[in-house]
This record gives sequence, structure tokens and C-alpha cells, in this order.
Amino acid sequence: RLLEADSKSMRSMNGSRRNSGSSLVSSSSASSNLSHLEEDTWILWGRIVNEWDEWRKKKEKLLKELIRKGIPHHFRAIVWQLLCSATDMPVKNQYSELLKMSSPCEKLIRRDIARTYPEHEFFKGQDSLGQEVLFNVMKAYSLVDREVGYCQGSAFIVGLLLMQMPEEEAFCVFVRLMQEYRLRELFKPSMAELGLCIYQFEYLLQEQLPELNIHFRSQSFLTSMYASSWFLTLFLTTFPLPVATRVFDIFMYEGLEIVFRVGMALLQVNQAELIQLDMEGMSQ
Amino acid sequence: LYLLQSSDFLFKFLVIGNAGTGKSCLLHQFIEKKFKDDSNHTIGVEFGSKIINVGGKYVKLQIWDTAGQERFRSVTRSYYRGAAGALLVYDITSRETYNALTNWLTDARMLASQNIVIILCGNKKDLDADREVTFLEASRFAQENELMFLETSALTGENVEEAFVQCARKILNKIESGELDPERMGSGIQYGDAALRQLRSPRRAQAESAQECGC
Repeated sequence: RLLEADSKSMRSMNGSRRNSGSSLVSSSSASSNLSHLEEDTWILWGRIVNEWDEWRKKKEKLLKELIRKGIPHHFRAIVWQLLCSATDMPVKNQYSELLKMSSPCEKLIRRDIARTYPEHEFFKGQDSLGQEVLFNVMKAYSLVDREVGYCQGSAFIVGLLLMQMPEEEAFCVFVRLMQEYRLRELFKPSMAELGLCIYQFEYLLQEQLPELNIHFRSQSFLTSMYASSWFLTLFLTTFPLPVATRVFDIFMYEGLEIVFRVGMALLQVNQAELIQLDMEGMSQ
Repeated sequence: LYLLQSSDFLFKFLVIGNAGTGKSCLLHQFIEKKFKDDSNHTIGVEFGSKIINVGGKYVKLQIWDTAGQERFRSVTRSYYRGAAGALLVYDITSRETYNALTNWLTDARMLASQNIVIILCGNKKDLDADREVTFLEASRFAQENELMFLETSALTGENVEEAFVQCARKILNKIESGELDPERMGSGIQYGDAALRQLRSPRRAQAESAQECGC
């Protein structure tokens, strides 16, 4: 159901790869003419946040369902932090110190800052606040995790966090995501985990959509060609931001598995069309 | 409806080189004739294609634009196979990107087809004031390594089309001289739809080429 809803909203936004300066209004939450419903949603989410431990322990199933329906925009910052237990992290106190240090990755990071959400209002312009805080968080992370340092792709994730919350909080959430959500493994220099994800995805494809898999093979259309960025940016460079943010909501609760689910759904919905195309058509 | 241009050949091309040298911008400038300064950095691989006329032959270039960061090589290397041509890009304002060329070159020669034709592109020619690599130095490197060489600007468009066309022309020459055999597996060359028709029925070729735009 969720996947259908997602692919529908994806279709309705077909074409525009990224809405510039898009507001992150949850695409499925109540529309304006249903304001009382919206109010109910807010009251409900207010309660969830206040009684977090209880919800997390005793109402897991309902919470999961609600998150799949989309976290209301105004609650995202706090709910994301709660979901990955990023409140009260000791590393937060180091943040300002980290910013004073210099990192061997600075040049690399700098090179990508202006090329991360360049069409988004917050990140537009060389001296924008967005670019400054994005650089700060990427640099701070490269200092606490020397092995990973900086990896292309991760700035899109941090950028999304920064659209929702201040830099210290975004930093803590990112540290958690790297440690607890397989992201650190994905971004390590060997990128072996990405290879594993691609392998797993390919196996799923073979099992779930055998005809499409045969077609891809006959066209030498490798899984990594289209799915690498799905995993490395959690669809943030694939879908328009409002849709990608919905996927991210679910990622925060369910983890990397959602990339497999959404990816598979995306291929399934477009299967008939894809089978008609050659390698080049599919790449586009 | 749009007119389908038929082609005589299809060449697989790579665009490789360090991060931030302007690979995607070169590709965009070549295809759209515009400078794009507001695109995301490339994750994994992206694609573009364009049909060009080289000495009366229509060649379709299928271009693979790759992520530049070192650790992505493990991912992008798998796309090298069967490439007929490559743009090897460095940034004239960054010696670091120039110093990395040997590594890129080794990868390309080892993993793509043996006869891959490579053109070295010193990009960001418009930023001459910040230049760190001289034309002379780079052209010597190109000569030593049997590469073609141009300085390009994805911003102004200078030499961008030329880079792709020169590389394609050299491949065509090699085909005509027999040095390259399009029929060999992994050559990175395929016959296009127009050429295929000719191969199938040489006598009808003329009649068909008259209506090659019908779709």
C-alpha cells in the first residue's frame, strides 16, 4: 500500500527531478481543506513526542503505520532525532571544538558544497547559510571518523537534515545514521557494503521481477548503474524532495530496507515501460 | 513526434577524471550547448547521448559520465568495459587533478577496450588567471602517452564539441584503416541502424536512405 502511494505521488511529480526551493510539506498529510484533520494529526504527533518512550515500547506497530503515512513537517526535526536516539549525545559538546580544527578532507568537501542542492533556496549562493552549515557538519564528521572521512553522496543526507534542524542537531543525527543505519559501511573507502547492497538488490530483482531482470541482462544494464545513487543518497538525488523526504521518514524508522522496497516498487510500477526500452532509454 | 536520426555507428564513450574537474558540465555543454552551474555532484554514473556528423558519417555517442571521487572507482570501473573512446579530464587550475591522470589512464587502458582512443581535456580554460598546469606541460604528457589533447571550457563551450568530435573521428579513421574491427567483441563500437540496413540489403540501401527520417 505504502509503495503504491509513493509511486503515485512520484508519478504526479514525474519530470521535475527536483523542485527548487520546495517546501517540505508532507505530500500525503491532510490537505488545506481538511484543517481539522490536520489539527488532529498535530495533536496526535504532539502526544507521540511527549510520550515517546511509551510509544516506542508499547505502540510500535501504530507508530510504524503513522510514520509510513508521513511525519508532519513541523515534527520532523524532533521525531527524526528521537527515532535515532540522537538527543543527548556526548559528541554534541565536541562540535564547536571540531569546527576549530582543520580536516584533511576540507578541500574535497569544499568542492562539493556548491554542488549539493544548488537549486534549493537554503543552499543557493556562495555565502549562504546553507552552504556554511553544510560544510561545517561535513567537516566535523570527517574529524570524528577518520576512516570514512568524507564520501560523495553523504552531503545530500546531511543537507536534508539541515533543512529540518540546526547544525549541532543535524551533526548528531548524522553520526547516529552513520553508526547505526549501515551508512558508515556504505561510505567506507572500499565501498564493499554498497557492492553487497547491489548484490542483494539484484537477487531480489531476479526473484521478484524475473522478466525485467532478463531484459536488463540482455541489455547489459547493470544494477549498480541505476541503484548506486539510490543507496548512497537514499533517493535524495532521484525523487523530488517532498517524495524523498517521505522515504526518509520511513528510513529513520525502518532502516535501509526501505531502499530495497521503494527501489523494487519503482521498477515494478515501470516494468512494462522499461521492458520496451534499450539500455540507453532505460538509463534516461 | 520528433524525427529519428539514424546513425552509421554507435560508440561508447567515458568521461573520467578527478572530482570537480567539470566532467558533467562538459557533457551538458556538449549535449545542450549550455553551461549548467546548478547541478548536483554525480553519484555513481549518469548518461547522455548525441548523434554527430563526422566526415559525412553519422555517429551516435553514448556517453557515460562517472563520479570522480577516488573511492567510487570500485563502482565506476565496472562501466569501462567496451568503451571505444574516453575524455580524460583534469582542471587546469588544480595540479592535484593533473597529477592523478596516470592512475586514470592505467584504469582506462586496462579495463576498457585495448584500442580505446583517449583525448585529454584540460578543462576550465576560462580560468586562466588561476592556472596551475601549463599547456606545454600537459601537451608533453599527452604526447608521451599517445593521447589527443585539448584545453576546454565547459563554461564558454570552447573546444567542447571539438573534443568529442576529434575523438570520434580518430575512432572512425581506425575503423577505416582496419586497425579497429567493429565486429570484434568489446570494441565499444556497434553499427547504427542506418549501417545495419545497408549490411542487410546493400541493394536497397539507397532507397532507404532517402527516407531515413521516417518514424
